[in-house]
Amino acid sequence: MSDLAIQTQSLHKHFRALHAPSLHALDGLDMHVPRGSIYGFLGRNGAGKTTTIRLLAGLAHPTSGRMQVLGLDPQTDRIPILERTGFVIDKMLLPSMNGNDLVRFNRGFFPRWSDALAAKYAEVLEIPMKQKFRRLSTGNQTKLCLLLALSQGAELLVLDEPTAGLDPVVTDQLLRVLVDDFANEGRTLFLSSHHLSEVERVADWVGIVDRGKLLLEESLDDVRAHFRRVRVVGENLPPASRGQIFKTKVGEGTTEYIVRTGTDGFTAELRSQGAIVLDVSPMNLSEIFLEVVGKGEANVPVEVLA
Amino acid sequence: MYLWKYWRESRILFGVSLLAIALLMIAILREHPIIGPHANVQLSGVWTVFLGIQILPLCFVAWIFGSFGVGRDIGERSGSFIFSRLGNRAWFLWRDWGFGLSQILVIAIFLNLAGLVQMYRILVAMGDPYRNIVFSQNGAVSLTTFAGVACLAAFLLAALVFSLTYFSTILIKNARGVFVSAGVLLGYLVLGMVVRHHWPSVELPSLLLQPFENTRHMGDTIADHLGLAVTIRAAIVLLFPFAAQIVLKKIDI
Repeated sequence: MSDLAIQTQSLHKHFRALHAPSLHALDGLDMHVPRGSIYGFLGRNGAGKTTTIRLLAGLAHPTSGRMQVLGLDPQTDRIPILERTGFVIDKMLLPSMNGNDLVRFNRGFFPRWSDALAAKYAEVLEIPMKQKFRRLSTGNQTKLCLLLALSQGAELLVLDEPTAGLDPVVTDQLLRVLVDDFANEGRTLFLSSHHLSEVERVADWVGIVDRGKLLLEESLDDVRAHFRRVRVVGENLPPASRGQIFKTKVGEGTTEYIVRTGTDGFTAELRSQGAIVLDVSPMNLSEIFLEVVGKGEANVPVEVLA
Repeated sequence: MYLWKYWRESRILFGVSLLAIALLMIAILREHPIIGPHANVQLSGVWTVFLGIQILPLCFVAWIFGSFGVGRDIGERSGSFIFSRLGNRAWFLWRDWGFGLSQILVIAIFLNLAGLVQMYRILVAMGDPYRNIVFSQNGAVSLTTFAGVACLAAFLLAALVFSLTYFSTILIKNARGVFVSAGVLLGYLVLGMVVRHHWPSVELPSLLLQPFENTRHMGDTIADHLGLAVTIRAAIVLLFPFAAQIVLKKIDI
C-alpha cells in the first residue's frame, strides 16, 4: 500500500473557450499528500485548487497526467474512492431538503455511514437540522456539509475552502472538529484554503499552488525550521540561481535572500566573501506564501493577507 | 434512496395530476350522457377529441418532470454533491429517467381510464348492443384495445417530451433545458407546416401516434403499422437518455 493518500504527476487541465485563449487551470501539477497528514493546499483565487479537487473527485476529466487517490485512479475507480473518501466541494447540497432529509438521503449511499456520528455532530456543531438547506446561514450550510462528510466513515477527507465566509467562532469550531475528531485518528485531511493563519494552525504539510503549478511542498515543520530571510550588505554576492536560495531581492544598498535550506552555511559563506549579514529572521507561513507566489505584499489580495 | 429525492421533487405535480384526474372521473360519473338511444356518433371522433384534450396536460406534466433530476442539480450547483455519492453518472441518470417515466405512465393510465369510463357510459346511453366494440374509420376494435392504444399513443408522446426535456437539461446543465425542448418541439411543428405548404406531397412523421386515422400514406395504422410505429417511437424516446448518458459522461461537473 502506498504511503501517499493523494498523488498527482504532471497533471494538466485546460479549459477551451470559443472566443478566448484556452485556460491552463493546471499546468503540470505534481503533488504528494502523505497518509495520516493534515495537508493545507494553498493558493490564490484561481490558482487551481478547486480544479484539482474536482479532478480528484472524478467530477472533471484531466487533459493529461496521472493522479491517484488512496492508490486508485479517480477516472476508473471512482466508486471505491468515494466509498473511502469524503469530498466537500461546492458546499451546496440539495436546497429543498433539511438536515434530517439530507442525512436520510446520504445514509443509503455509504456502507460505513454512522447515524450516531451524524447525531453527534448535529449536536456539537449546533446545526438546525429541521431547517431547509437553502434557509440555513452560510456557516450552518458548511457545517452540514461537513457533518455529512464526517458521518460517512471516510478515511480521507477532501475539503475545498471549508472556512470561506465563516466567522472566527464557527471557523474555530469546525477546525477543532476536523483536527480532534477526524485527523487525530490517523486519517488524512486535505483542505484547500487561502486563509493562511488557519492552515498554519492545523496543518502539518503544506503545498503552495500558483497558476496550476505546485511551487512548494514540504512539511510545515521543515518550512518553519528552514525558511529564513537573510539581509546582506556587500559586493559580488552569490547569484540567485543557487539551489538553496529561493529568491533574491536586490534593494538600495542591501540584498535580501529567501533561503530554503542551510542558512548557517550560506551566511558563513557570505561572511567569508566579505559581506555583512545584517539579520537572519525566521518566516511565518504568510510571508513564505507571499514570497513563493512571487507577488509581493502590495499585489496580494486582502484575503491572502488575512 | 436516490429515487426518494426524485419523488420529493415531483410528488406535488404527480399528486395534483392524479387529483385532477380523480375530479374528472367524478365529473364523468355524475354527468348523464345527453346522447339518446340509437344516436349516430362518430366514436373515433370522440376518442380523437379526448386524445387531443389529454395530450396537452400530459405533455405539460412530462415537460415539467423532464426538468427534474441531475441536469437541474448541476444547474443549482448541487452536481458536485450528487456525483460524489456512490454511484456512477449513468446510475443517477437512469433512475431519474425511469422513475419520471413511470410516474407519467401512471398518470396516462389513470387519465385514459377516465376516458374509458366516459366512453363506456356513452355506449350504454346509446343502447348499443355491442357495448365493448368501437368503430374506427376503417374497422372495428374492442373498447379495451381502443383505450389501450389511445393510452399508448398519449404516453409515447409524453415520453418523447419528457425524454427530450431531460436530455436538454443535461445538455445545457440547467433546468432551463425545458425551454430548449419546447423550442425543438415547436420548431418541428413549424417545420411540418412549412414542408406541407411548400411540398404538399411530403409529410413529416407525426409526433402523435395516430392509430385510428387514415394517414396519407400508411392507411389504417391499427391494422398494419401500429407495431412498427410504436417501436420507432419507443426507440426515439430511448435515444434521448442514451444520448444524455454520453453527454453526462463527458462533461465536467
